Amino acid sequence: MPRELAHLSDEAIVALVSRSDESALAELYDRYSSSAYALARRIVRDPSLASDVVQEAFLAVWRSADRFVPERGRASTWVLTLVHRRAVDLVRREERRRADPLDDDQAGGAPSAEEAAWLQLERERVQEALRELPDQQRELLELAYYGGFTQSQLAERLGRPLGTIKSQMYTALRNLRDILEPGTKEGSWTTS
Amino acid sequence: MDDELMHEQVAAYALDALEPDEERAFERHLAQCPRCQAELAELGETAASLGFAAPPASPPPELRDRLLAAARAERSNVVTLRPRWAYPVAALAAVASCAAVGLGIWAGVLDSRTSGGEALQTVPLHGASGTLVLSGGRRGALVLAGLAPTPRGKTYEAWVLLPGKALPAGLFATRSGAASVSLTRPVPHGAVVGVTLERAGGVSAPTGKPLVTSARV
Repeated sequence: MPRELAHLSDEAIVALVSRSDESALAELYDRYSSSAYALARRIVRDPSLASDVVQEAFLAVWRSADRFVPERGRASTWVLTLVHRRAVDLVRREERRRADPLDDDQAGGAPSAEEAAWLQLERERVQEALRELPDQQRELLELAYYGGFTQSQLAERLGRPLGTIKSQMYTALRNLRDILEPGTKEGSWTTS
Repeated sequence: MDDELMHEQVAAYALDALEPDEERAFERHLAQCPRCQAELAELGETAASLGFAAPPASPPPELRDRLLAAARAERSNVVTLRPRWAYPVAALAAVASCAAVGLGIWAGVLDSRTSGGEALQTVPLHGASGTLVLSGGRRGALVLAGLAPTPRGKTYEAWVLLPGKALPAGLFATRSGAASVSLTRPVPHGAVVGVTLERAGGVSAPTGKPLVTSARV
């Protein structure tokens, strides 16, 4: 399929999606389906459930693109937020899945040849930033974000008071932000 | 919970790590806290960065066509409604940013109650965001946002209000504050549609003043 839309920004693509432009939805899918699927797969483990999660997330984009506000954040963030929410809901309904060990085939997995180079760079950048966090903070973020555990479940699992988990989670995400975006402080951030 | 502790929840919210009741409480706080809104914009980006760090995996090639076919099917549902719907959808969407009111729900409520080409009338509401939608055959549906989540042991009840009488028109509950409700009885000319909060199971006559009322139809 020709990529006539390839020169447009993500946000412009979402604006077209909000006018029910199917080729814009296809373009957005081509840009973010790999990231969306990788995230869904990491959380729900099962390939076919991960596909369902991705489809549901992109259908949510299709239905509600007119509510996307570019000033509040990037389109890519929005897409991954939709994927994450659906994956976590699913894993909480199917409690047993996350007790399974991570399959080797998904933990390894070389990047596909067609994957955009910047996605790989972004992954390496975030993984590097995670390694810079103290172990306890990294563990909290990973269990919450990829494991789908709530704060209350983490308090129980890790044997720490809920209040401690809450402040550690805040500190951990704030620290990760400061590592990823050095020089930005609360309030000074923009979408540009 | 005091404001500082509530503020701290912004990280867990960005990570989808709140219990459902905590999440609703935080969303109520967020709606009126510019500081949390600003910080959510930042921490939401950071949480999504974790998404980009997941081990690479490629979606099955057939998923693309499956998605586009599903999207196309939804659009054909919505298109017949669009001319009259474009305004209320946009207006509701503007106020229901935290509520999961998608076009799919709207179309779903109406598809079961109206035929494709039937003219639809939309009537404004007082007391909540949303719209009363009426078909030419006087069947009605309420699409609501901004309600309080249904308290334990209670139900919302819809009414068709006519001079001197109130006719029960269906029970519903909401956790998000949004709801789409097909009314169980027709809405005659001159009636008002109202919503009250009643004890679970519903009542045969409203026990208080309606929380939500439509304009006279």
